[in-house]
Amino acid sequence: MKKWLKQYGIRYLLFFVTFLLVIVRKTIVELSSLRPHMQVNNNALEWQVYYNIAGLERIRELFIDDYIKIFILGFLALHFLIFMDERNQTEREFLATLPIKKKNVVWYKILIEVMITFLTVSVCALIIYIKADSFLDSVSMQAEWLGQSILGMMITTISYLIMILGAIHLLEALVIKWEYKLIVVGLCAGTVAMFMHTFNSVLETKANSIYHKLYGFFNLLSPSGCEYNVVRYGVHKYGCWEYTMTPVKVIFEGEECWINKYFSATTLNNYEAISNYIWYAVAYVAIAVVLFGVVLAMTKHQELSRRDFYFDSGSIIVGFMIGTMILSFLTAANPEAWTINIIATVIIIVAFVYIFHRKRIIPNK
Amino acid sequence: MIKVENVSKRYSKIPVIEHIYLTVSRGEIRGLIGNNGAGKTTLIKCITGIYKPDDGSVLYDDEKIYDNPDVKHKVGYVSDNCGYLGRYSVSGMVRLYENYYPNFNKEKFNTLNEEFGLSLKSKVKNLSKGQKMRLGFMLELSKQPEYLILDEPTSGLDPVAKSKFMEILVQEVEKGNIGVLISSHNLGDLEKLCDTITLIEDGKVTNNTNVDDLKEQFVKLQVVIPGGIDSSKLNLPNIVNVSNVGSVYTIIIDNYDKMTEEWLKSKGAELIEVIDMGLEELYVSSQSRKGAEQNEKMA
Amino acid sequence: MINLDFKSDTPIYEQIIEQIKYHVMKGNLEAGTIIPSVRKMALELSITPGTVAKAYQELERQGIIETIRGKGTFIALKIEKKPDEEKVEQISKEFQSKIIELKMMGYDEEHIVELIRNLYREMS
Repeated sequence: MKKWLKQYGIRYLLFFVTFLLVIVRKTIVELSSLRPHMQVNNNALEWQVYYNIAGLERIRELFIDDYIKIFILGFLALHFLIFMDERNQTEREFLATLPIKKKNVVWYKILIEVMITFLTVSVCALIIYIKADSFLDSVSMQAEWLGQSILGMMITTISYLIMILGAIHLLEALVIKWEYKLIVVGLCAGTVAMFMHTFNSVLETKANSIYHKLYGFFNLLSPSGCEYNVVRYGVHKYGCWEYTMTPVKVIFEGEECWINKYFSATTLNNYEAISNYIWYAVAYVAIAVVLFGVVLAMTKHQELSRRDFYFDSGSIIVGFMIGTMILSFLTAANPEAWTINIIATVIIIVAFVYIFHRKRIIPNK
Repeated sequence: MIKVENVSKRYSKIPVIEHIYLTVSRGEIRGLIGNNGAGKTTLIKCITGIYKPDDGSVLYDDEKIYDNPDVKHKVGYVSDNCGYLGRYSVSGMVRLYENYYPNFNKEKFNTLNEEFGLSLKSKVKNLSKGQKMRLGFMLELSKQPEYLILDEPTSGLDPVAKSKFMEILVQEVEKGNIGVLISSHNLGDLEKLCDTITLIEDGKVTNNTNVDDLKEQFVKLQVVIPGGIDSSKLNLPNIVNVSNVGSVYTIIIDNYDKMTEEWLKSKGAELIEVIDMGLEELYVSSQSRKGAEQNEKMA
Repeated sequence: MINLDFKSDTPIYEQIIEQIKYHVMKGNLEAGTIIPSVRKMALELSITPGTVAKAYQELERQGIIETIRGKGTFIALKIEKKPDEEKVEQISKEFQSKIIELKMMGYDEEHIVELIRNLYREMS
């Protein structure tokens, strides 16, 4: 560990510091949007309390959306830094002669990256807590559940990010060339984003409940208590995403006040109870463990005599991703021609894989 | 001892090297000869643990080298294109080696560098081919390996540098009792360095001998046949090559014996003289004969 | 130090043996002097290490040189001048044929002895 760390430690440290600063700055900038709301009428006490608490919704979005995006970019940038040593075949071959086990290299990378994730998110969570608390003080409010909720979001987000890390490593483990590694990961992220966009705009009403459950799981919606409900009106069936509503207790000017009508506050509050989110966190980590396990097992078979992909499955997976992107395009353009879209996509995937297999060049002897 | 046992490597089912056997003991220098495309580089990459053999194994003192750090400490490898890590400076590479190899001897590197004279600040990617090779050589020797694998180390070196290189190689091999496998096209150099030679053709080992035995096996004769003779008449199977200037024929023979001598005399040979022949000439003529045979087959 | 004649009938390794013995006899190589290792010699003379090894092996067998591991190869401190019976016989035979040749050219006993004496003096 020491030897490898000596070589790459500084890069990781630099990245960590820079990344931390970037993400903290983003957090502070977002939280500065917390403005006190003051209502004049007495009826509107509930509203006044509500608006101020609703502003805290931004916290959840940070944890579920912004941080994920920043981290994915951050992981890619980090791997760019680390892979700079492997830009061509001779460099890769040189690294292959160094006396260190391939499995150990991957292991060390995983450990450090998980640690960076943990530290960064924890620091952000702390900052958020401090800022939110001081904001609430400024409007004479107290939310006793806020600390627990932030902890919950922190745990869920860290687990989710570790799972993403596993997926990134798995994709990278398929590809030999440095540039292609990052392209493949970017492609995957793009595919997922496109697919989700298509799902939201077109497929949502067509999909069945399993689909919706998976969607909620992989989008960090379910841990916040969000579910897809199908509501039937006459012949037409349509659905919507609903959050489990729970009454939220806020102390305003020393007195208790309950808000239970609007979801903005309850989504945060849903994180107070550990049982609401802990199983999701466990599931994310379990998936991550499986992904990392596969990556570590793959190291035994990765070998430099191939050209583009370490494994044949690499071209199949990339083909699949490109196919999914194309399917998303086609569906967005013409959602009704579902069957034709699928057929076209399958043809494209098969063509891609075929071309790639033929293209396999015999390297110089 | 390095033991390469029945090693094969294929790319998409096309075999590049097959059933390779060879050994290198400590203190031995073995040469690896073969035309371009014969599979030398692939074999070397299997031997240095960069590639994993599809069949067979590469063992150093009975331990596999692939993905095995314990063995990699003992093996030095100077490759044909010596890429190293382009962005690093020479001193950066030294630091890297110091980090990964506990036996790395910095004083030794500095001593060697006094001979080779590389600037510590230059970046690897800015070095010439010869300089990169020298850097590699110094780095690998300074790790005090038990075995050394060299792939075309003298290409890219001017004559002075080459001579210095060979001197230092020989010195270090004797000092450290290093087992060396050296692949080169320069057979004249190999002749002076190697105890044993392995020949590779089309991915298979065709010859695995002692250099001196090889030179005894193939003999070059200067034969005078007054009045000349049609070359096609000199068609004994063990005649490798025939050329002539007037009635003076130069014949290269595999396994020259009394019978062959009598046969030559029966064809009219009067003066038969054995001449010294270098490894290079031996190899080239045996290859050209193969080429001629193949041309005949195709025609 | 060693000059090889590649065209000669004498095998290379024998030439090396002869020349080293010559230098030792002449006093150019004193007892305990270090001589190049097998490989160094091979490089210098542009011949195969095997050939040099053969020569050195014979020289070592004859007690003219000795190799100390880790230190190098040296001229032996004490060279036993013990006549090798077989070798002496072989040389006698060679002498015989040389004497016959000289006689055929008209040299008689005195001339032949004179010739040998002069040669010996030159070499010492």
